Amino acid sequence: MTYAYVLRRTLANGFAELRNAYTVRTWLLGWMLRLAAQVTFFALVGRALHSADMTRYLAVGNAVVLACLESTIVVISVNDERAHGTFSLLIASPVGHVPVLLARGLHWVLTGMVSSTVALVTVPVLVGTPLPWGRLLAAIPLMWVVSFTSYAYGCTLCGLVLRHPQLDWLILNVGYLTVMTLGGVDVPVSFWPTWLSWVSDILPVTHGLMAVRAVLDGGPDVAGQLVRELAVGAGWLLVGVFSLRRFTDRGRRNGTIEFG
Amino acid sequence: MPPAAPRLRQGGLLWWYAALGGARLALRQLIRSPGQLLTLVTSPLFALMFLSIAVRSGDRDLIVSAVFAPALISLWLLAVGLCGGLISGDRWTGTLELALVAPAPLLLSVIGRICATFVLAALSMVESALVARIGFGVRLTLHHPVLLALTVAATLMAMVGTASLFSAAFVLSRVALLFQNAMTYPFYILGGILVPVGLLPQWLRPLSDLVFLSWSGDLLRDCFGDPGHINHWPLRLAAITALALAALAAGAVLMARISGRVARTGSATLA
Amino acid sequence: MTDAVTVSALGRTFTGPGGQSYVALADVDLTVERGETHGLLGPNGAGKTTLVRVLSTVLLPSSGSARVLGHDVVREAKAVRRQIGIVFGGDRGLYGRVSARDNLLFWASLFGLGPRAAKRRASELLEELGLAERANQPVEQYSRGMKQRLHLARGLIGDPQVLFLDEPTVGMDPVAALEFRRIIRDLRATGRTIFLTTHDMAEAEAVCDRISLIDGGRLLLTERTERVGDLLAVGDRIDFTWTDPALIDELRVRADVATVTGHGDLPGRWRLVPADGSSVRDLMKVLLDGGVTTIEAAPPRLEEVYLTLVGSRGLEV
Repeated sequence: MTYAYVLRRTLANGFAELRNAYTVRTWLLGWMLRLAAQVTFFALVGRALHSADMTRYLAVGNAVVLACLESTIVVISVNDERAHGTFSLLIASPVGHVPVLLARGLHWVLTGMVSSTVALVTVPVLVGTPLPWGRLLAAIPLMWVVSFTSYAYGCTLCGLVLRHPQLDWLILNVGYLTVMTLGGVDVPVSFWPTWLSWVSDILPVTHGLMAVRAVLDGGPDVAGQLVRELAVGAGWLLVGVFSLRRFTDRGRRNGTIEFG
Repeated sequence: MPPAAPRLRQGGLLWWYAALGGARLALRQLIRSPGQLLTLVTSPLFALMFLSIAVRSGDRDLIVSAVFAPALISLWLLAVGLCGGLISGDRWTGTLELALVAPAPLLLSVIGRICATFVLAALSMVESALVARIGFGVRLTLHHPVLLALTVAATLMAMVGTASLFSAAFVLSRVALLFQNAMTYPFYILGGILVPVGLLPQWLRPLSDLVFLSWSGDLLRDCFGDPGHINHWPLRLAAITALALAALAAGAVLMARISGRVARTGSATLA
Repeated sequence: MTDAVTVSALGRTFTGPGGQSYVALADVDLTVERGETHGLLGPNGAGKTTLVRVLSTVLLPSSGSARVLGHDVVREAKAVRRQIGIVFGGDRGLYGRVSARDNLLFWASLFGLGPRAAKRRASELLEELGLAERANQPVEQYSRGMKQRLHLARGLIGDPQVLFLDEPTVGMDPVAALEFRRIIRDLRATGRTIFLTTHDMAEAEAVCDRISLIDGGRLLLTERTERVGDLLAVGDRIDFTWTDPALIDELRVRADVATVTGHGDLPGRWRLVPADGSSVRDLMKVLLDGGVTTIEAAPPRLEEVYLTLVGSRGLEV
């Protein structure tokens, strides 16, 4: 009950900040257009190579990775807690900081679900490789799973950002660019040397994207990849919670938590 | 005996000092705030990403583009992000009003600061070349060193012009500020950073001609890609220079408007 | 009944980046009774905020112990957190882009208030602190004084028994600061314990029942506000205005005068401190006989005690 209400209020805060920054029009013309352009930018490479398969591969991969991109923006929202001076107040509250920080970027998960869906539906059409409707509808929920597993990954990044607040944008960018590079977004995981593909295995997106591609192409092992994606997400969530707790435990000891 | 009054320079020397002072400040700030070195960290990642696509496809033109794309992205991100935020950053710290009432024109110190930031774009080019060589065994051969030097110089000018235009626009309009992070991929497409502009629909071509990246990128790639004669290079260099001057003029006009607003209202608050 | 705050032999040491350690609090003993408004007064860097951080469970002590309403701040942090409210001065601690009401609803949820209770509590507080009219505006549009009232509302959201105010009037204009002090006095009437840190003498004198002076991490004294002056060895002093230096010289050599010093910014303003055991009345008569007409005698105020004990660092009167 308490946690549900904390979640609701944190989410309300998130959306209030979002509304303050964007109107529907500026969100569509500013943010959404940029994301769609990002997917198109990569898909056009396939066009330049005169390969419909490549175009579609890049369009799908880059649309799904948007879910990750937006979910990881949680690190900026959490870092804002420090900028606002509210971090110590959260720690000193009865519910504590962990539930709030875990919910702090959930609005990004929701907007990420919207933008990745819009991109997956529109960009393939735009670059001339439309996806079959039936399979597309089946693939979208899988992509939403990626939003959440990426969010768990983002929560781990939050642990890093709290320790190095001045590096917030750097951690965010390196965080999702790593996924974009190694997650099977532009080239299959098998392209990379073995040791790098191990990294791919524990990144969010990798398995979820394989599941999405399997659904779109009628490939096998959708359920297996989905389970792996969920396991990866659960793993990151555990690391994230541990890291947030450890941060405050240490902070209370060594006095690094700013007051006011 | 009272100490001699310091000699305050005027005219050209004042301008030169202001630009130099701006450059010094920018370099200091860069070293002190690791977050601003963002592009140096993301460039190798972009290089990895682009080169993986290009190498896997085996397309030679795409490989050359993939090596240059991260540097062009850095250039653009620096122009829009870091430099574009210069004046609005000053507004937050309250230093803008002080800079505006200083004897040297604001534009000069801003130009100095932007030039210093260009160092980062050059470094990201080096990084990208290293990733290509070490990671993928790709080597580029420079065929036209003189043209390369000219292109880099013209590009630097264009970056200064574009950045000063943005940095003034971001102060004058809240909407512009909002679109700051939207000014990435749409411009990478228009700038032909990875994919030739020729692939875009015809109606987008005039727009892409207005983005200096499309001219700079093409020339840079030609310097390395094509050992033979390069078509119309003087004209293409002139296009970059013209875009640079136009942007700089627009930037100067907007900055004059900011000064005017500060003089009238006492602050450079957003419209 | 347990006291609101009990601190015994509390110490806190920080280790700097170079490994050198720095003592922020040393051997602090302090008791704050329930319902008391207690002022912790000291210059910047004296350890005021460190003490509040420890009491509000944000920082662990290095030695000694602290209890809030009988709960140990280390072992029973959760119980402490349920019964305290924290109020910062300055702009930090609020979500600027979110409305005042939404700020409060959010914090209400962290104190375990359900949706309905949260709404009621938020409305009550907004009304009480005069923010109801602009409750739905983003906080960044608020004036400094309004933000501070919102801070207070935020601190009160969980109906805390103990309220910590850390330099609440920093950066406020005098009118807003006076208004804020009035609110604190109203709060005192509700029976809450208020623990206030400040380096503003007038503020401490205006609202506190008792005052502790802290400097260099050590508690120098704790006394009832009206009796702080008694602590100075020299009880009284006489301020007067006179321009003839002859009289001043004459006074300075008298056995019953300890010192005569220039006082205040204006020339001709003097302060005479009588020697131990001598009579203020006799000395005033001497002054009157010398022709002085502007005379004022009073026991020392908090300001003088502070100056004597702490010196003039960080003084704000």
